[in-house]
Amino acid sequence: MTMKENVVDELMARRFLLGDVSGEERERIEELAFDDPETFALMLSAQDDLIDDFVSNELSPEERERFQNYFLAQPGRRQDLRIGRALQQYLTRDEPSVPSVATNVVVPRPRASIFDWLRLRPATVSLIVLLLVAVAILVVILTRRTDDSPRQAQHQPTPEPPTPSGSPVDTPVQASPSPTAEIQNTPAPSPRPPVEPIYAVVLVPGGPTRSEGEEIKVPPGRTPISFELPVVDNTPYQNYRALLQRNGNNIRTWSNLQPQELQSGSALQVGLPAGLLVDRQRYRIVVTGLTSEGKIQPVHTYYFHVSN
Amino acid sequence: MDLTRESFEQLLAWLHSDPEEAGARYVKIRSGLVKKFTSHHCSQPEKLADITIDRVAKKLPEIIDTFVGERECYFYRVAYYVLLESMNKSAAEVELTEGMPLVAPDKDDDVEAEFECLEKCMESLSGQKEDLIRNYYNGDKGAKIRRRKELAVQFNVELPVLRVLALRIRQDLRGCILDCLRAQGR
Repeated sequence: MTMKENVVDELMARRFLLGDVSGEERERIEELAFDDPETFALMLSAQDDLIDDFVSNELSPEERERFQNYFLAQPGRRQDLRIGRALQQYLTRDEPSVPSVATNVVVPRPRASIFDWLRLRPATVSLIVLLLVAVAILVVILTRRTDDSPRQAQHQPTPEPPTPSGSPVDTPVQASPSPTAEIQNTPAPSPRPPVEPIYAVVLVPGGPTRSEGEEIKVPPGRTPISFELPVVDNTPYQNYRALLQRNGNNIRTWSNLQPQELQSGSALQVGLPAGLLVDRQRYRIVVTGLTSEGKIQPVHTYYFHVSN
Repeated sequence: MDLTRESFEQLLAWLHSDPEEAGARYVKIRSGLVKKFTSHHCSQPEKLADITIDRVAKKLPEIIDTFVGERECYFYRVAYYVLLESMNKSAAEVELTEGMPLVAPDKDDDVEAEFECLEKCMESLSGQKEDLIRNYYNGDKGAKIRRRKELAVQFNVELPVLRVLALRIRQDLRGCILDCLRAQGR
């Protein structure tokens, strides 16, 4: 089997882990795995699958021998095997039937209901209550002004009660932190527009090469897009900044981002209005973090291309 | 191992015969390593880069006469293993000696301690994450492949994304189990 120059697939990863590759192939995989975080993730995932297959007695005799003589000889592998055994015991403990995917409780995207949002964000619920109280006070003040100056009321249109900002719709309040350019142009409060459907995408951090020759595809079109950017990092950044780029040009910036607990785990969420992305173009979102010492450090880069 | 003066000079000479060019290459290699370790979200990328360089220097006398290829690539290959070890907190670096017997794992390996810790750690997972783990890792090979494709459709993500999600949860579980074992003095 020949290896594509910049691609490692699951089968090749398994052969590498079992020591069943040529010297040249081994060197190439080692370089690629270090160079590309997604390839590295593929290697780790292949390692877990290999351990699980060994525990389940699904390796061929030759693979089994290589597993015992080569794979387990590496540091930490025996402990991983023990954890793999424990996991298998745990997963099969409640057999005979594992819930099928169709009936499990996984809620498909794109949006959580307002009740999930309220449950998950008690702090934000408090903020909404506060805002509603403020609105009520404003209405009272405006009413009193109208009563106190009847002459002015004749010349002014009846003011619309202000819409509380950040009120929940079907999308979470922080779904699309405004790009810095938009903060200065925030329109005056107006009646809530009809809710548009949003196309939600989870991007994978990593290099532009993909282990299966795939890139995350995003359709062009007329719906806004919400990107979920998983952050696999324990570094305590004060905040994050995301930069959308195409061909080295900056398209949009989101600042002062904070990770949220989303479907993929701890992740940033940024949004784009409809029609911004160009068909058949490649983009990347570069995320940097601000450390407590005030330094800006690279965190992740997410690649995707726009395609129907 | 900390680099001695002799080993450092040998390393530089290996990078290039001209000392100035060798120094420039060293700096470039080291900064490239730091950048890559950072991209893997390592908390101490500079330390790991230095560990990588130390290991290359230590290995150099064995390979210096026969090495063929790009020197920088060799640093990357060593760095791959340094990266793996940095993620494996419980693994101590052990030098394998010639003739060291490799013992096959017992069939009925007792994993009671790991199981107890796993139970505790699973309680801290959200229902969705536990379901993902159950559906992603359970079943025989054929069932797994089928189920993972279904999961990807259910989550509306590509398979590589699903893989990363499952891997993260499993790595979190692993860390939790190891912490639990250490707390029990195992």
